[in-house]
Amino acid sequence: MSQEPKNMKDKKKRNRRQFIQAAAAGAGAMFITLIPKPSLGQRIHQIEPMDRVPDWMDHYYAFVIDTTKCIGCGNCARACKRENDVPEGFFRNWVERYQVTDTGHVYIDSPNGGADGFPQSEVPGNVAKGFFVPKLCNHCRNTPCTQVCPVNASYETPQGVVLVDKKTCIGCGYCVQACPYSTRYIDPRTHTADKCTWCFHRVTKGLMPACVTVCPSGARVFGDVKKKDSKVKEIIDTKQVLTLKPELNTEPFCFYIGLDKW
Amino acid sequence: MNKYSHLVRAFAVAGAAFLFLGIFQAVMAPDSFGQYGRFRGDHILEASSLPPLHSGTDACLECHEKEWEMEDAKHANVPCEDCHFVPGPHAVKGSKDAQADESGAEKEGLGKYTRVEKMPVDSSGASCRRCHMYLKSRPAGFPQIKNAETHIKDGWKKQMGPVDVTTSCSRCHNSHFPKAFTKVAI
Amino acid sequence: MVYSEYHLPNDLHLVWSLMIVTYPFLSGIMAGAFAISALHIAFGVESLRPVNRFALLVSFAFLTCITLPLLNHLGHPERALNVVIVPNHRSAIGGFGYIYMVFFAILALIVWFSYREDLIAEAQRSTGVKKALLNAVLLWNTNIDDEIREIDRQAVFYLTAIGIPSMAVLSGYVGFLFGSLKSNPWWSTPVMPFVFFVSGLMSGIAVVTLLYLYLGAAGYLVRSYQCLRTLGALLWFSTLGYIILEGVELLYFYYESSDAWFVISTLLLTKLKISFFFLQLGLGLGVAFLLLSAMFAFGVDEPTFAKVTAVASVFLLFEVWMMRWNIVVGGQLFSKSYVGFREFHPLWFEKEGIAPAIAFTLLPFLVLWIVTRILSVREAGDNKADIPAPRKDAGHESY
Repeated sequence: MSQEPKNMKDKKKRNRRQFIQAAAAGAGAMFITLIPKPSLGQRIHQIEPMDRVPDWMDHYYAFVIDTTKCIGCGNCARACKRENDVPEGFFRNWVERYQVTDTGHVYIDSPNGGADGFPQSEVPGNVAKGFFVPKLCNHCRNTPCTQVCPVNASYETPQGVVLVDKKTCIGCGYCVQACPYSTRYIDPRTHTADKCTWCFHRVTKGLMPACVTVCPSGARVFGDVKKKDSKVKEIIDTKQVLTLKPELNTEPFCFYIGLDKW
Repeated sequence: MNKYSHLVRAFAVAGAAFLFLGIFQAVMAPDSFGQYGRFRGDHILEASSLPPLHSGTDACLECHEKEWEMEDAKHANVPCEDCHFVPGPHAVKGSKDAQADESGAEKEGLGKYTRVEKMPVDSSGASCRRCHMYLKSRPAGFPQIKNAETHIKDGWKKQMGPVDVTTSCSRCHNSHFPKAFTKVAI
Repeated sequence: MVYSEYHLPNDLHLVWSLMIVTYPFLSGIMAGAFAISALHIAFGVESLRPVNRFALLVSFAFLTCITLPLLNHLGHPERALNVVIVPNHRSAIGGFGYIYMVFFAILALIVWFSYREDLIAEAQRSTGVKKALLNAVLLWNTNIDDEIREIDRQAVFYLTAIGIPSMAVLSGYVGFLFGSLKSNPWWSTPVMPFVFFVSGLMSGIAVVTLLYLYLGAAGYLVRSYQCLRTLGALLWFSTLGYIILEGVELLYFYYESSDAWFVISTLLLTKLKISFFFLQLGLGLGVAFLLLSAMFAFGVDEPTFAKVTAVASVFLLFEVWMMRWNIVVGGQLFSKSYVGFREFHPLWFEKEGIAPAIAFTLLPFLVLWIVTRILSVREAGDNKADIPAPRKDAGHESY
């Protein structure tokens, strides 16, 4: 709409116009911000249970754990217990501490799954290397647990998440025995099998699992490998990753950076 | 009745039992079974319907942005909920949230408010030690405190007085800006 | 690398306990008893005639009771029918519902055909409600003549023929269930279904032998030395088969020395040292096998044969129970970290405690007793009057 201003008077007019437009826009913006709206936190908790992100089925999730970054604070184990109401003594998510002395002696511990952090350790000998390994359900592609469930209560969603249908589960415990990673347990309150769900109720709403949300060191990465720019896809494609017990051919979809012999 | 009739009857009863089993299975199977795969389809909707409990740092920042305004915010990557966790929606008394309800009653559509007089936090230093206590297994570059006493620079020692493992870190450190030291109590 | 003890957190809770030990114990007895009948009916082993129908009854009584320990173990027994409503065909337990029902139908039909003539005679003698009930069981068809007897015999023959693989699957699938779990190195071996099947045969033959000795002495069954010898021989052969299978399994574990050998060897040498080597192999298997071998090798007279076989049967039943315990519970005494071990001591009065286990083990005998009030233990055509009474002056000669 603008022809070039020919003289100073026109220039001033234009500047004034622009200023008024800008001021009007700014005032309008200010007015909009004055309208009370719920905060993101409230909106998260206001999310109707059925509010999934559109195309919630059209994802394929993966998890990456970088043990070189894990500081063993245990916030993930604690957050998981809170978020998913996990009973005492059972764990969907836990952290293990490894201390390897220079004489080749490996000390492993996981006090209360790491949920209260780790105490000073008194291992005999000089610890040459140490690291933390957080563990959770690996949501395998070739799941031994869904294969053995007699009533199809344990299944894999189209998004690659392995879930337990608590209304169908009869509590036989076959899946708990079949999991090579000991990520499953029988909930003593519901008498059904239970395990990490990658916080399915959060990821379908566009949030991250609770353990990823509270990790301070970026050791946990979660994402959709179908998205071209996802961090998880980048790590899996470009870095050297390993899975737990690969010789069992369960094809876990939880990838580890920095695993050591175990 | 011919000589085979008892045979026929016996096998007919057995066959009828299996037929009944087949009908029973067809009738009793849940409707949504097989909708998305070999499982009860309703469950995938139930599982995704549970309410989330952790809000995440972004949610806290909407009100608490001044906590992160400093340049040197070493704790900027630490999620708020690691030290201050409140399940569900919360309102701090006197906050700018217009819907804060003094009586703590249920707010429509938001569930029960957790009335928080003050942001919950453990100031004893236990939260700090959770991450920063020296452990051999922690990554090498990560700031860790080996010894509470030697951690304090000589110049401050006189002012600090006796210090041990139970001393609260917030005596010197601002929790949100740990490199900015608070005034040392004398 | 030397590892300290570490138990994965969820492994501290034992999932399969006494009920899962009791179930294969009962199903094994059921299979072994049926095998005795099958040998007579399908393979024409005439010497087993005195125990033929009785073994069928033992098998049937145990078959009715084997689901109870499983139901007790389930977290939600009221949903147990989900196994037939929404079954997963790739799962071993998912197949259990069908396998059990098929074999139940087969065995029920065999019992029905075997006892038709007795029930017809009983129905003719009775009146009122009892007569009505018996007629209903007979499906209101009381035809009987020589031709129909032949038809019944053929029906039993063919049913037994398909019953044998069905019984093998029902008692062997438990072994398959354990043997196919790659997550547990103590369980994961292809030999497992055969170990369970053969030990089941052993326990079934032992139970029938003991009951036969008792009922024979009490005059309810025809006493036949040939029958006893055949039972003893079957016992010996099945024991030999079991020793070979178990020995091969252990030899392979030891010789292959694969990644799990450390945890298996530690398990056997520490936690299971007494229950496996001393109780199961030494006391249970070793004593029984030596006794039976010596008995056949050196030749003994009838009463001694009876006594030795009885003793061997008791030891073998004990061995089979210990074997179930060592496999089911033993496999959970170590953690999947392969470097953690734990103890397990069941309580008396918990859901899967010692008292319920004893109750479920004794229940089939109670059911057997009830069934024998209705159905005769003797072979068709053998009346009680035909069995010679025990000679009172014989003393120790007669068992």
